[in-house]
Amino acid sequence: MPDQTRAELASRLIPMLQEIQEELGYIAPEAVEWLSEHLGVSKQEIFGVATFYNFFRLNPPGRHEIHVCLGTACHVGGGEKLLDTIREKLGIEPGETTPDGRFSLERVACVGACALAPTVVVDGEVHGRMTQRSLKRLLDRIEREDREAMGGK
Amino acid sequence: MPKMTIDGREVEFGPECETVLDVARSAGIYIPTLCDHDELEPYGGCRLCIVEIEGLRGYVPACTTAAKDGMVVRTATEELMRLKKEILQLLLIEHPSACLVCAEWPACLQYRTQAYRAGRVTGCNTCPRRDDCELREVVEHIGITGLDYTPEYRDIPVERSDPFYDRDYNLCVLCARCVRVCQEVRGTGAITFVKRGHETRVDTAFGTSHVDCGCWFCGACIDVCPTGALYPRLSKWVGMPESEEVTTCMLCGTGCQFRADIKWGKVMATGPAPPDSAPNGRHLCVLGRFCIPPLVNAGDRLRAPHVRRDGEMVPVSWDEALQAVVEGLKGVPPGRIAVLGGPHLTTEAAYLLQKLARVALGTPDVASRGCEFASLVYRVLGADGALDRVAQLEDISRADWIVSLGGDFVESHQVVAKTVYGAVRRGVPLVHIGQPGKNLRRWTVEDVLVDEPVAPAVVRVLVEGSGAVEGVPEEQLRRVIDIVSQGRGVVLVGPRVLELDSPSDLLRDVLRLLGDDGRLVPLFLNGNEAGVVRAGAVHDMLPGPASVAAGAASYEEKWGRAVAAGADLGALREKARAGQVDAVIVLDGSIPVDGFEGVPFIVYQSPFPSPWLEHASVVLASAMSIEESGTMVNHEFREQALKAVVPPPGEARPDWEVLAELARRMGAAGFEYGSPGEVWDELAGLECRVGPTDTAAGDAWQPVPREETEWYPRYRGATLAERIEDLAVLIEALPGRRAPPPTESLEDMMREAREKWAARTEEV
Repeated sequence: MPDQTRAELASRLIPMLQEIQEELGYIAPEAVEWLSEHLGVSKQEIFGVATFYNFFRLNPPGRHEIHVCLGTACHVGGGEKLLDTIREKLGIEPGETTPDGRFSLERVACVGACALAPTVVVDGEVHGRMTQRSLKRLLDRIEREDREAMGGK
Repeated sequence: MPKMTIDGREVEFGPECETVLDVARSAGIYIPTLCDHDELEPYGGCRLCIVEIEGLRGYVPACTTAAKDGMVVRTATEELMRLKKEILQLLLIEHPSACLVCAEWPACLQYRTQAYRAGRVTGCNTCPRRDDCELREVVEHIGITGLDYTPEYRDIPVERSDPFYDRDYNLCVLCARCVRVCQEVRGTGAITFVKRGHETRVDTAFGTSHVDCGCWFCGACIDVCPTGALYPRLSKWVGMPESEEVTTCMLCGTGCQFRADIKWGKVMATGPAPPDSAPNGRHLCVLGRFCIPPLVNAGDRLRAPHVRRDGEMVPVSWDEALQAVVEGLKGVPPGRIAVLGGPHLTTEAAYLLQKLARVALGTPDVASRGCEFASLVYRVLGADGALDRVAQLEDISRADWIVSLGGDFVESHQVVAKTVYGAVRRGVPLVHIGQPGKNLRRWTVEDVLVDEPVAPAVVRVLVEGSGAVEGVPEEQLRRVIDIVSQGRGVVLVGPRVLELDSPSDLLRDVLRLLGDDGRLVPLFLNGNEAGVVRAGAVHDMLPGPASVAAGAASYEEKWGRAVAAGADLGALREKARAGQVDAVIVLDGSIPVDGFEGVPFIVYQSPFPSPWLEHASVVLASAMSIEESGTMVNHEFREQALKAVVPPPGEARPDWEVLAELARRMGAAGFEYGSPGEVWDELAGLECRVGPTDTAAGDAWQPVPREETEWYPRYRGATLAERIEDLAVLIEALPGRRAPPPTESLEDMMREAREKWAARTEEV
């Protein structure tokens, strides 16, 4: 890219990251390496930008995306406990994906359903007034459905 | 001259003061800061330099506020100090601060003289920076004596598995100096701030090791760290040095100035010299920053002269050893003696070595390892009267364009690379001809991706302003021609040009490309190459350097002996193999013994053991460059002073002294020197005389094999990577950094990433 100066190249970093995340769903290590070569910026500089913005994720989204709301109402209603339940059950932290690629976990600030607090959003569907028990049941149900879909294994 | 009022004082300031902080410093007014550093751009991170300026709302950081005429600044009002105290306390919540706020500290400092060696720093005596902590200076100035908040230990695992230095980010105050010096000054970008807010920490991409993230271990981050977060493992618990001396590093051709920290009569650590040191300022590379103490203090240094008696090496006195040399050489015809030097001798020692050979022994066969590059440059530039075309590093900063060839200089010459990056950052176009590594690729505007043998053809096209080279896109050549046709250029020529069949033609083309204003940077790989050639300790050059054709007559007159060109190292080896050499004096153990095994009388003089020991009849233990005074000539042809900062181990003696005494014992006249300075006086006035006719003779050139043009530091028999495990780790990682640029498209890359993830989840 000889027509562009270093500064111009570097200014394309965020749009490129957005483009990659849109296509791939996350910022893969391969993508950081690729951008480093093509934009003339070190991998570290790219990683710094990608981790600064909450928008960018560094793990591929799972087949089921779980968003735990920690907005004011959900926080008061025990959202943190719900998060612990998932941590315990799936063994992942917010921002991570289970090694089998099935679940990914995110914390969100507010999903606009405060009347139903505490809420958990799974694959776009809002589940309100969740308890640790109902959340466990929900996760079990998803697993069961997955198994059935895969031929009852 | 503009002026401002600071704390009631009227201060005039010039254009060199850009910020309020600069003005205050120029007037000697101390404003505490943690993140500001004179080599780095203003950052405004720590907020400890906040000041009150009349007419400006709130409090502004002095480091990021532009200085203006007529400003009225207050630096220490009650309210400011209260704020600063508060800010600093917040910062200290996460920094182990037992040492900073303890009332017993002064007494402690007096009675506990040694830092505790601890796995983890909790403050107090367990911190490696307990004696010289920048954070402490700030705490003391602001006056914090107790903490109003409960400290919170971050409990980050201490990073100890990377080479050379430990990283304890529990001590980090997030000033970003290390991140900034690595990105802004060194152009490496090995570390970054990861995440943000409370979770911010210094790390690499995806948490990889420093070996994998592209770190060159130059140590710049350590030198700017205001806390004990980064510290060289080797000197972590040594404490404050008893004295500090500045001398010259001989481990590559740059000849950097460095500071040697001396304690217990030994060099315990090395660090940056004062900022105005030429040519490197405060910057070093992995060799100068970390490799000197382990080399100098190696347990296997030769400590005493030895003589072989009945097959056994026996330690003897210097008198006996030198007598044994005189006896051994007696009666050997001059044509059957070979004298071998190397690029790590001081210029004075090299001069005496060739004088010993040519005057005392009467043999023309004096040759040195690893000096081909300097010899070539003197020959080509000297013949054109163009020695002044060799660049000083400042010339790089003033260039309008930069071209590099002959290998990746980021790998081999870190300090030169830092200077080049400074220019690149200001927008000076850098073009590399060859196969650049990952780091260099980020700096270049054009990579002319050719193999070394094709580089001369590319340069020829650039000189002529037109033409084509197979495998290079025509458009790219046109763009590069555009770049090099404007303004003053600098061409960096790396050691890989020595692999060519005719590097002198290439050098002459480079000179044409540069025109009258341009400058050449010959990147000598080995210490004092230039000095050794200038001293004439090579087979076809006399001191000056003067080619044999141009200088023989005057030296014959001066020395009263016939002077002729000798055989080069390869030819001497063949001669020895054929049994035509009866005695060898060798001062560089890194010369392979191969071929010389059968020589009946071998004198080995070096600070380090090497395979030559097995064959030597007499071993003379000599001092290293840090233990003797003398002169080193670097790749700018700058004369750098070597200083004896520590005594040599045991009975080892400086080379110049041994060589001069040896010559005297052999009855030669003209070796009465009292100091290396006297040798230098004799040598300094000599002129470079290389006639144009010699260049044709110089074209009887033997290409240098790849293993000798590669960055693989050796020092007189010591192979650094074999001795310093951490250096070996870095060297092993180099091939990965040389990987060719990827050609895949964005789509290819994403498909690959998808497949990789799919395959991984499948496995689970």
